This record gives sequence, C-alpha cells and structure tokens, in this order.
Amino acid sequence: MIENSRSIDRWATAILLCGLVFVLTPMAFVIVTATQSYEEFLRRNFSLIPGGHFAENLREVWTRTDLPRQTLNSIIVGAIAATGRIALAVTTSYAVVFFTGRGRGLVYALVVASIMLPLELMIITAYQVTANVALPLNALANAGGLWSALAGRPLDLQWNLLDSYAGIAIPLMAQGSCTLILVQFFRTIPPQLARAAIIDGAGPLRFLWDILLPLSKGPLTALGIYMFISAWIQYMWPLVAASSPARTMAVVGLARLQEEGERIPDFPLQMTGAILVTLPPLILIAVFQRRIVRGLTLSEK
Amino acid sequence: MTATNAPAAIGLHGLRKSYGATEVLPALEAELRGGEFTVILGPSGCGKSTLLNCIAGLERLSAGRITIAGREVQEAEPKDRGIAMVFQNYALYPHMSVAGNIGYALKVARVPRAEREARIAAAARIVDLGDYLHRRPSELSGGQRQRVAIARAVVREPQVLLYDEPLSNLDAKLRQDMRMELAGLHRRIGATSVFVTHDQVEAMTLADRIMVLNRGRIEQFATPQEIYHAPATAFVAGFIGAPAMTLLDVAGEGGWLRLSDGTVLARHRHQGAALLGIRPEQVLADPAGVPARVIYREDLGAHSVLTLQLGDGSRLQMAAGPGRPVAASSDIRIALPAGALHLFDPLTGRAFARHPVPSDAMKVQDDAIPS
Repeated sequence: MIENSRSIDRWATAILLCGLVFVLTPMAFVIVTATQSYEEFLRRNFSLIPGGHFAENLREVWTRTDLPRQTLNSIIVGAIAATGRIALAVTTSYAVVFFTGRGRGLVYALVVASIMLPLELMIITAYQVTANVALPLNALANAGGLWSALAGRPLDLQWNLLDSYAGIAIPLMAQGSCTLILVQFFRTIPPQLARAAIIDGAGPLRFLWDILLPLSKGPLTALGIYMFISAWIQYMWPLVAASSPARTMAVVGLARLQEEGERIPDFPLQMTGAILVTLPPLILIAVFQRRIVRGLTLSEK
Repeated sequence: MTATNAPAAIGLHGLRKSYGATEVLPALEAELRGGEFTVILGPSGCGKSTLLNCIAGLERLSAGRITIAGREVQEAEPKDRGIAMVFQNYALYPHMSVAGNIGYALKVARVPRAEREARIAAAARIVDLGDYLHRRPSELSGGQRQRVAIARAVVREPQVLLYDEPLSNLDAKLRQDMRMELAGLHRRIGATSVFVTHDQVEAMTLADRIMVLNRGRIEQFATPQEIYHAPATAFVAGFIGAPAMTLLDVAGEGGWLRLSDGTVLARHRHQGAALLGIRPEQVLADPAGVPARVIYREDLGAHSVLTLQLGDGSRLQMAAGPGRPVAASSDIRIALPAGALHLFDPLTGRAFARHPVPSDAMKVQDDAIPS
C-alpha cells in the first residue's frame, strides 16, 4: 500500500508540475518582457533574457498612462459591486431559507436563472437603462398615452449614470451566483437557532444581525473577495459604460494601451501595466487565502 | 433562584392545527396544572412537537385558544408568553460564549448589564456550569451543552418551561443523569414544565402526568401509575411498557375468555368480542394452564422475554425470571391471572369497565392466582 500511494504521489507531483509550467510560462514572458526596454524588445523580439528596465517601465506606466487612476477606479467599482452583490444575496437568501412567504421559490428560481443570463447578453438594454435610469418608469407611465392624458405631455425623466462609478457597478450587482452559494450555506444552519432566537425575543432583523451574519463571516469574506475579483476582470460592460479615460476600469485601460499609435505595440509597457493591474487582486488573495479556502468549503469552525 | 411567579396552568381549548388539508391536531382539549411536570408522549408524527410549538408560539393555531395563567396567549409573541424552551439539538449560538448564550434573551430585552451578569451567574449555578461561562459551546460536551440550553431557558424566569425532546441527543448514561437533574431542577424552580418525548422511560420517570398522544388525539392524560396499570385505550396499552403489553383477539362467553379456536384463556365475565391485553411480566407459568409453544427467547440477564404461540396461532409475550432457562420451541403452560387482564373494545380501542387500579404492581401477581 505504501509503495502504491508513493507512486500515486509521484504521478500527482509530475502532473502538478506540468500544470505549473503551463500556467507560469506566459507569466514568465509577462515578467521578463516588463523588464526590457522598447528598443531591446524591438531588437530581440520576445525572449526569456531579462533586461534591466523594469523600474523605468513602471515609472512610465505610473506617470504617462491613466492606469494608476484606472486601478483605483477598479478598486472602487469592485468594492461597490462586491458589497452590493453580497447585500442582495444575504437579504434574498435570508428570505428564501428562513421565511415561508408565498412565491419565495419562484423568486429564488428567477435569481438563480440570472446566472444563465450574463450582462453581456443584455448589454444594449443595460446601456439604455444606464443612460437614463428613468427609462422604465417613463415607458410605464406613457404606456397607452396614459401620462399625456393626465399631464398634457409624455413623461420624460432623465437620469444618466453612464461614466459614473454607480453606472458601472450597479448593473454588475445583478448576478445570482452569490445567492445560490449563500442559500446553500444558510441551509446548513440549524433552523432551531432561528426558533431559539424567536423564543429569546429577537426579531427577524436582530436574528440576522446578531446570529446569522456572525455565523456567515467565513463564507461572506470568501464570497466578497471572489465577487471583487469577478468585477475586477469585467471587460465588456466597463468598456461600454465608461467612455472617459478617467472613469474607465483598469482592465479596459490596459487593453487601450495597445491602441496608441501605429508603430509596433510597446509590449514592455503593456506587460508592466499588466503586472500593476494584477497586483491588487493578487495581494487580496495572498492575505485572505486561508479564509477563501475555508469559506468556499462552507465550513464554519 | 426560584421562579418568582406563581405556577401557571396551561389551558388548551379546542386547539386545532392543520397544514393545508392535513389535520395534525384535531380539536385538542386539556388542562395542564400549574407547577406540574407534564410529559407529552407519543410515536413520531403524532403531533406532540407541533403541540409544543403551538404553546410556545412558534406555530400559529388554525383554531382554538391557549391560556397561560388564565391569560389568552394564542395571538401573543413567543417572548410575551412567559415561556422558555429547550431544544432537541441544544440550538446554542455557536459564536457566543456560554455566558452570551445564557444572557442573550436578557440582552435583547435590554436588561441592564449588572443585573444581566448576576442573573447569568445565578442560572449557571443552577445547572452547575459556573466554571464554563467563557467557553464556546463547541468546547463543551453534549451534557454540558444541554445544561447551557437549560440555563438559557431558566435565566428568563419563565412561568412555563417547554422541553422538545431535550435528551434524545445524549447517550444512555448521560440521559439518566440528566433525567435526575431535570427532576431536581423542576423541584427547585417549580415552573410548570411541558416535556415532549417519544421515550416512555423519560415519561414514566419525569412526569407528574403523562399525556399520551396518537394522531393528534389525546389517548389518555393521567399519572404514570394510571397509564401503566389502567391504560384507557389499546393504543396506550401497546405503547407503554417494555416489552409492550400483548393484545389478543378474544371472545367472552359464559364466564370465560376464549381464543378464536376455542382455547380457554382465562376467567372473565365479559360477554362478546374484546381485545385482551396482558403485560408480559404478569403472565405466569402454570402446569394446569393454557398450552403454548415457545418460538423465540431473548435472555436479558435479569430476566428473559419469551415469545409464545397459542393454539390459534396468535402470539403472546411473557417475561420469565432468571433461573430455569426455557429452551426455544419447547412447550409450556401458562396462566393469565384475572387481576392482570385489560379488556378493550375491539372497534374503538377504549377500555371496558376495568378493575380497580392496584396500588402495587407486585401485589397483582400475588392476588392473581385464579380462584
């Protein structure tokens, strides 16, 4: 048995090493390219010989591009989107698991169905509504000429959220995967806890605040980080929703570095930017690594 | 600490509970006396937990009234009913310390901190938990956790203590210790207690009165002695006692009870069909008695339980003392003493007019030799 498991170990190690090489080779190219100057790069093309110009490149990214500002944008939008998703998921899951109201199954099904409907599919509608948040309200009031009959002219409220943090972040919140995971976690919490809290005189909000949320700290942290990163890597929606470089998110800004000029792209600069943009999520994962793993296995100990 | 309030009686008046078309409790009527320890006993699915939850206010009634200390509470919030509850799986808040768990209700009720701490300490003392106040529930044993749950109930000085199968998660030894502690606790604080269980040993040992529930109906509500010695229905007879009472289809004619094949079982002046109940420990070996064949035998050390087959094929259990071991598939003769017979209506299951309740179970056997 011992020999047997040892050979399994060896194989596992070998397979993992292959995977590591597969994943890290592109990363190596990114890092090495980021250390070369544009001239070196033109002369040698992609190579694995490091140069000595990383600091220079970094200075250039920091001073000559919008990336630092856009990274900040990403942090803000990511935080808003993650917080919003979690808040929506907590309230929805709480209602679905702990209350017996009519139609909660339907609500849950709809929320989960939204997982199958990514924002990219609804991007035109989402753009229209973000360009004027009052659009649905206008449409409703003007249905059948109702508002014209009452007020003399059609309702035409305007509220443009394009090119704002809220405009980018709020549509990103409408996503059901968080709810799916939290519902699973809440179902592992014994319902008797809720009953005990009722007997102890705690109302629904008190139970949520005093008992349910403290018990969900682990999964909530993990979900929060996961949701932050999934907002961080969004490309399509931020590209559409924010047109000015000052409001654009980092991933979009990174792609735009490529469009400048007609010469051969400045890959060393781009790769330096890529490192900068990858850093915040990487730090987050490094710091919270254990909590993420524990939270995703949904165990609270 | 003792409950400052006078013991509160609980009245259940026309209490009905149904889920959709399923009626769990059809028009229950009962009076639980103040200060008494009432055990609600029944098989799973009989509605006993639903009844407890109705009293607690965790379930809404479909119809009827509940009074606690004369006050109608069926519309009141659980916290305003003067009740506290101990749950089957403890239901402790895992992220709070023992003190936090015990004091949570007081914190919600905004009891000032100093008073809160004094009451927590007092409640912990009652259940002997003083040294564990700062531990988490996960650091405690099952028995200690249940004590925390009891302290959490006691700290509110309730008029009524509700227990929902609180001992079923504990092992046998611990269960016995906790039974003793619960009995002591009841004596000390004197609150009206309602205890739901499916375990007849808990019911027999803890209860002042047992309410036997079957399909939402009260089969019998009486002292453990009465329940055991004078079961009101065939259901109660078959549910209480280990091994349970044997029930046989008999017919009474001319002063004798006969099996369907005509075998004379015992003397009794009952006329017509009946269900005959007899406790295994009251069946006697008698060389002049009814022939029976031993088809199965369980030796439990102190006594053995024999399963006997009678002439018409029906089966009967008999508890035999230690000593002469009886081999399986041997033939013996038994007697069913007249004083130990219970007769039930085969249609309704209700007991026919019965013999007086004996004060001492052993005496029955002595008096029981047929005259």
